[in-house]
Formats: sequence, C-alpha cells, structure tokens
Amino acid sequence: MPLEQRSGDDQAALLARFAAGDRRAAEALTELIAPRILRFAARMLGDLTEAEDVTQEAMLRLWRMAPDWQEGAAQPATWVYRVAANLCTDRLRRRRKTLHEMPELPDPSPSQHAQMMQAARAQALESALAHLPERQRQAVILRHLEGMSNPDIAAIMMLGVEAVESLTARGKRNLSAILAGDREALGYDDDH
Amino acid sequence: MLFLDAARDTPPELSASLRKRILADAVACTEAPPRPQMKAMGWRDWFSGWAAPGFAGGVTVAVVGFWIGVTMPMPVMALDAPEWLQGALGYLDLVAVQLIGVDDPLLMEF
Repeated sequence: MPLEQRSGDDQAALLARFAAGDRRAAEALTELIAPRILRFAARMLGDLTEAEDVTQEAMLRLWRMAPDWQEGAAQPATWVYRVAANLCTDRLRRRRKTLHEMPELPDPSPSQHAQMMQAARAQALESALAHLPERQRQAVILRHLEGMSNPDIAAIMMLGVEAVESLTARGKRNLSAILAGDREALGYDDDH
Repeated sequence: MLFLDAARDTPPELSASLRKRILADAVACTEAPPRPQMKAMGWRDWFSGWAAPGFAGGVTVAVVGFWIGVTMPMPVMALDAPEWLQGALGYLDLVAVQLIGVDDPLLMEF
C-alpha cells in the first residue's frame, strides 16, 4: 500500500511499533508524514529553512508523544499537522512583518517559457498566500494544496466543518482578488 | 484555480539532510532512559523521606504531653509570668479602668 494511502489505524500501529523500539516504523512514519508537514509549513511561512525547522520540531514532538499515544485519539498525521500549525503561528507572530513583493517575471526564452511561467505562477500564489489572514491561509493550504477533507481540516484547526468551509471560501475569494491583476502577466486568459 | 494547480506542481521536497535529522531525533528518543514508573508503596516506603522523622516527632510530643499532664513536673509548677508580662498586665488594667470602669479586665476575680 502506498504510504500516502495508509489509514489512521496504520499510522497509529506504526507509532506503537516505534514506541516499542522499532526504528523502521520511524522511517515509515517520516516518509508518510514529514513531506506533507514540510509542504504545509513552507506555504504557511514562505521560508523553506524555517519550514524544515518546524517539520523537525513537530516530528520530534511526535516521537516524544509515542509512548503515551492513546488508541482512538486523532490520527498521528492530524496531530502533527496541528502541532505544526501552532509552531507556524508562533513563528509568524514573532516575525517582523515584511512586505512580500510580487516576483519579477523572468525574461523567457522559448525553450524554457512554459517551465518558467509555471514557476512564476507558483511563486505568485505563495506571495498571495502571505497576504491572507493566518487562519484563511491555513484552511486554503490544507484544502486546496494538500487536498485534505474538510473534517480532517476541522480536526487540525480545532474548528467545526462549517467554519472550515467558510474560511476556505473566503480565503479563495481573497486569493482571487489578490491575483486578479497578475492573471494576464502570468499567461492566464480571462476564461480561467 | 490555475494558480493553485501551479503551486501543487512545484512542492518543496523533503531533503536528505532533514530526513536524517528527523530520524536522528527518533533514535535519540528510543535510546533515552525510560521514565520512572509509579509503583505501589511498600511498608518500607512509608518510613522513607520525612515520614520517619515526622513520626518520631509526633511520638515525642505525645509522650512529653502525657508526662506534663499526668506528673506536672516541678519546672512547670514553678512557672510564673515574667516581670515584663506583669508590667504589661498592670498597664492593661490602668487603661481598662479608664475606659470601662472595670478593675478586672481579664475577669480573674482578684
């Protein structure tokens, strides 16, 4: 079974095996959870180095929690997402507010045009995400970039499902407004 | 939203060094000494720490109290208020007489 498809029970079983001293279980959990946490943290913070620190800290807390993990509690991945979200919030509060400028568009050569445009679009989105209120940003990242379900996001953000739906809708609307002026420059026509 | 598609297509990857750091933390956690477990207290445990001195103090106080109460040793019989306390009581008498007209504020029926 691919790691990404392991259920919460599988994750809990892996965690129990790790708590019993099985290091291979730690490797499996790392492959399963850490990349997702890194993606989430990188998009929340807009800084890969800080995101790596958050990922390491969140996983460390999972290792420490392993002996006390209770059956029937939240999925380990959900729990780590929640820890990472809190760590990101702490860092965002500490961080001095900086202005996120839109990236300079590259001067494309025909052979690299598509690839560079794709990178520029991704960069534009990252910049726009930084302008969203923190909770909206969390919800949009988890829903639209991580592809998580609303109940899972609700568990991570400790909210009701309706509140998550509202946050993601408002977040996406705000993103559209922020990016509206860049659509043409980034190669999107009016139909998208 | 195509911007979201573009961002999904270019996710940050878990680097080898970060994976190594995470697994090193995991190994360190498994090698940490086990936390002390709570166990039921045996009778010896009741006399560990401050229990034995406390118990001995209680016994001593009880014995001395019994001895004082029953035998009334001489030093206690001879005990009397010191001079400074006599002076204080006399001053209290003077004040009480002025205020309430009673010459026996402690109701000792002199």
